[in-house]
Amino acid sequence: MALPAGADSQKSQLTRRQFVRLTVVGGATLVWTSGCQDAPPPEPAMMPVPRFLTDEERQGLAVLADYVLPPDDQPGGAALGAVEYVEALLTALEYDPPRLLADGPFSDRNPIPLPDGSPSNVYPENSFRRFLPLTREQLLSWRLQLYGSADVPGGGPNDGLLGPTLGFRELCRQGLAQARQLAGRPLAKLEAGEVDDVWRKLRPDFLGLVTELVIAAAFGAPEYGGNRDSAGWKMIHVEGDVLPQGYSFYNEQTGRYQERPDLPISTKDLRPDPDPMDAETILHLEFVVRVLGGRTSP
Amino acid sequence: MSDTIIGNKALDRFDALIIGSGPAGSAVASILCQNGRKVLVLEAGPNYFEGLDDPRPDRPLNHFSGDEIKSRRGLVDPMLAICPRSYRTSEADGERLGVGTYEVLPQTVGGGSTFSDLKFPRFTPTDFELGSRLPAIPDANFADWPISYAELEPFYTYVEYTSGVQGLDGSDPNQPPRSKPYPMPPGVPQYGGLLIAEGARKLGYTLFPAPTCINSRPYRGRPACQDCGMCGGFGCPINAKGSAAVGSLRTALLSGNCQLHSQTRVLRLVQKSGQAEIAAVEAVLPDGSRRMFTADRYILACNAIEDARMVLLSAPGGLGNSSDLVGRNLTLHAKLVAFGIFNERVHCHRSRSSTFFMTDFRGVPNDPLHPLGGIVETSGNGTPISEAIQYWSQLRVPVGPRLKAMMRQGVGRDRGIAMSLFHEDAPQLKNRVDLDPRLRDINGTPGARLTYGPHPFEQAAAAAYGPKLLDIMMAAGAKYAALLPEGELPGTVHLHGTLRFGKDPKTSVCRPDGRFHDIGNLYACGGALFPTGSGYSPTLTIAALATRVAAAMIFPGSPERALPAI
Repeated sequence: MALPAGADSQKSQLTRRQFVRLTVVGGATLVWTSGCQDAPPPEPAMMPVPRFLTDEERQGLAVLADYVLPPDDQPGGAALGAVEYVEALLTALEYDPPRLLADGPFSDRNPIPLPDGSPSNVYPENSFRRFLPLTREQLLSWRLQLYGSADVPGGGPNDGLLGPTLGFRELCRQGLAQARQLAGRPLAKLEAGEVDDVWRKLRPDFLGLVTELVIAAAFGAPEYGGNRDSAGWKMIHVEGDVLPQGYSFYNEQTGRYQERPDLPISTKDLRPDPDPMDAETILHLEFVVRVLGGRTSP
Repeated sequence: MSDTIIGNKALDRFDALIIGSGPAGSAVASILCQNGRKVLVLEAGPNYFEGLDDPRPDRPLNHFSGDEIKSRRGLVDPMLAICPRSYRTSEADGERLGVGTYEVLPQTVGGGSTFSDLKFPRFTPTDFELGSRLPAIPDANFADWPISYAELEPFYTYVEYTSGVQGLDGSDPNQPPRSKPYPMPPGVPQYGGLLIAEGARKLGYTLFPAPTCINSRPYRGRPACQDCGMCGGFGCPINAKGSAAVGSLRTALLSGNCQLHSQTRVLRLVQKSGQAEIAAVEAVLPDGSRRMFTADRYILACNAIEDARMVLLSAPGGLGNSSDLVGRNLTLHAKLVAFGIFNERVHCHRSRSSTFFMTDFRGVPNDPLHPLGGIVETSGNGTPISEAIQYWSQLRVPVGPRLKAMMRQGVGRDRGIAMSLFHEDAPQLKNRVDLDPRLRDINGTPGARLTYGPHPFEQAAAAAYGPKLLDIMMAAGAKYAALLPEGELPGTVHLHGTLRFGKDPKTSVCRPDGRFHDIGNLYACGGALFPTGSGYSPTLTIAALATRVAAAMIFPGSPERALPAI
């Protein structure tokens, strides 16, 4: 997709109240007005109003988030928004539509290209701030996932075979309580080395859930509450959702694809490697390759 | 979100009822509707397209995006409660070894193709003749297809042109005969793929631009791909992928002869009392209530696992199962992945999932020096959440500073390239789909149980080609290369067999035209019919075969006559 010639006359953000989306279909640029609600969408990273976790639980979760991704010269799990991400997930069904599946097609992080492929100053409306309604089956599944068999009428479909499902909410509550008990005081009062002992003794299902949630918070779209200011993406040198700009551009005037000089697809990166593999990574990979019976170049 | 009923809502009598709107069901709908037949399509999942039945040229729009969280939260693969499955390697394992979402395909309008990276190779002529070309192999059940490559060729061409495939004629040394060139040239190649291509060339192998159903220029009202990098596992926000919804179902809907009900899950087929015919299907509606739908013909177009499950749910022992073959001969392709890590950043995550294929390891039937393998796909395309979870859960990288360092250094995503051999697995009677005796989905319906164990046939190919894949990786300049350990199931989501078609009702479930031998108005049309799975990604062949099944309903003697001009 591209802007029509001349559309870049001033820096602008297309809003829902104006024309919200420009789409190129078969070479023709068409302007489409969203037929959806007129109210401005809520700010994505704002604190969810319904809360599930207590202040102490939130502080404890922040400690664990920083254990999974510790702060250094770049933010850690907590500063990236892991607590807000988890709280938003645990309370997602208290919103209508539930805050589980963000809409598309574009965020407002990348510009619409001009007809020659260069970036314009025009950005699409951020549709990630809206959320999609769930189907009856998705809603039932998420109720089971978040609240567990106990809060679903009739229980889960396979409670008899697999045992009742422990919902994410209750698992977080129980896991944080266990961590508090192991620590003997609020987690926030532990010294850095002491978190290690607590982490190793956590129930494995909670440990696995926290790890996955902190990772998703750090490296997922910011509209879910984590990855604050896209700092998680910047830290690992990825661009996130790159449309409508993309990494390539088909120029209809020339009939050829163009690549971005800064982020090429088919050629070597010109910029120096921002984070080369370090000695520990190399040791780890050599170990893995040995275990798998693979090969290492001399 | 779109209305759950779209298309011609005035229709109330149907020539055909299609269960499933993926590549198979959409292909059938397109052909029947363009030939004036009235068609009802029932899709279990939601419709994420807006205006799929709206003729305006800027439609359809959709709700997809480069959002990894959304993809992981049940937008793509149905959640466990919706599509629970169990698994065991053989009956000796007891009722089951585990419960999970094994080999599940997306349930949504457009089916798996909506979120697929849409690799679109054709099968080759010998793939249709393995029953004759291979000697008898103990415990394997190879069979010829009842149709030849030549008979399917016009349907391949039709699908390639209507859905839009990019590729380069003559670049595959094993390219099957084609009546027309690819409709579009290849798009931008991956840098990492070019490195592998050069390494392979030094060793005498040929990588060639991957035929994929993704626009490399504006095509039939849809734009060119912009290489957003979020391809496999993501719906295409700009509809540059020719997935089933935009590639064929839209044609059916715009004809005025099609009505599509999404979020409408068929629970069972209802047989006419005392007759070998289907009278109706019972479905659960978006609000949870149930109703019957009727038509003259009924077409199973879910996928090989769900089609078999549907037949088994509909009568004790399965409908139309005098052969006792319903659910059997399930093939999934075996998968062998060689992963290479380069010192430099090769940034495969900036493009379509796979831009190069290699067919040098497809092998030759009955040649011990060249065992039958399959296609090799070269790809990268990692996304950061799955990358981090893989470091932690598979590479045993501890959380903390090491996990963060691995992510910053982009070891797997930015320096890694995979060469994946998807190779032919032997059909086996004991590899099958049946109903788990105790597992239930959210609607209270029994879930599918997969019984699947490997055969020495495909293990021989893995042993022969694994070291050669590593040779290529090292020749390409990888610092490290290893074959990844295989999972309990191959996880290919290439689903075939279970309702195999053939001429003899004793050795097949369906006839060469797709109709059940035993039931007058019931058809299968997709991967379930495949007697063998070949060694190639199946989606194009699924769509081409379904197109032919539909065309044969219009002109049984010469189905190609039912093809509209392309």
